[in-house]
Amino acid sequence: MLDPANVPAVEPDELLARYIFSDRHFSREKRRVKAGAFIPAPDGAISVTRHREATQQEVWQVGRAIARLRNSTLYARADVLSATCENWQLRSEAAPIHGNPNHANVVGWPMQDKARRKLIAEEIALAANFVPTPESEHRT
Amino acid sequence: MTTTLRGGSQTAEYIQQQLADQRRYLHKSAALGIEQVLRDELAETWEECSQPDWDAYNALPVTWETYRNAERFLLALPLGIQLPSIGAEPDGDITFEWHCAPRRTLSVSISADEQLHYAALLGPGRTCGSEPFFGEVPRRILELIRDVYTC
Repeated sequence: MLDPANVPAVEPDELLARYIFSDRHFSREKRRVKAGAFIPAPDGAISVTRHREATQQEVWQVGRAIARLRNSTLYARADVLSATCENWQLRSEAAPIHGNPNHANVVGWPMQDKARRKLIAEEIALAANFVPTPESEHRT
Repeated sequence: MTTTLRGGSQTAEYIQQQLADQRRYLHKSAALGIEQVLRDELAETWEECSQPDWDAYNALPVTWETYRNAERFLLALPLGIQLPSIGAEPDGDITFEWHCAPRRTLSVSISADEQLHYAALLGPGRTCGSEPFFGEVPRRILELIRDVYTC
């Protein structure tokens, strides 16, 4: 994981993980993430975790820790390049938090235009790589 | 069955109600399936997403008004149309998704205040927009559903 005392800015070639805690946000049959997973909360940001300097195990550990904290189920994650978000005039900003120095926010969403937000989320979801949790892989 | 009937008279209202009842009756047919979607997937979405923070990212809850609008939207779909999968969005809207292939997909969301927002990827093209929902599925959305399955 990144050194909390020295967190660099997000680079375009960085992979960002969006954890999926709702089974409304992915299709098991087609093994793909749905756009809903990338639509921002009313605060106008989507919360992601940077892969930079993190092992796969560490990336999953962060997701599991959030699931425990929020009393939710971690189903999967969707990995997307920061550059994909930038193609849609969004910005990936480092936003380290306690326990996750790799935390970042994707901001710059057109919050006055719901249809446009949906379209951008569709394109990002299409470009994202859907990765089920290792546990759910064993179940299927 | 696509029916457009507007008018303020009691007769027009009576006929509109009769047509709606008949359409609902036909939707109950197992072959046509809308009732099944209502019972199962929409009800599941309500159950899973009607509490705040249902996505662990501070999502707003799906409200009863949104659920009722989603039910009306489903029942207003023409008979025999491809059925959508149902989801929800962090602002509390309910989403209907028609997906044929990665770039053949349409997402329509409905809100508590009867607004429809849609986005579609259709091959190299893309489109998005908003329409009010007055109890009938807008023609533009019906065209997009058809386009999604014209692979």
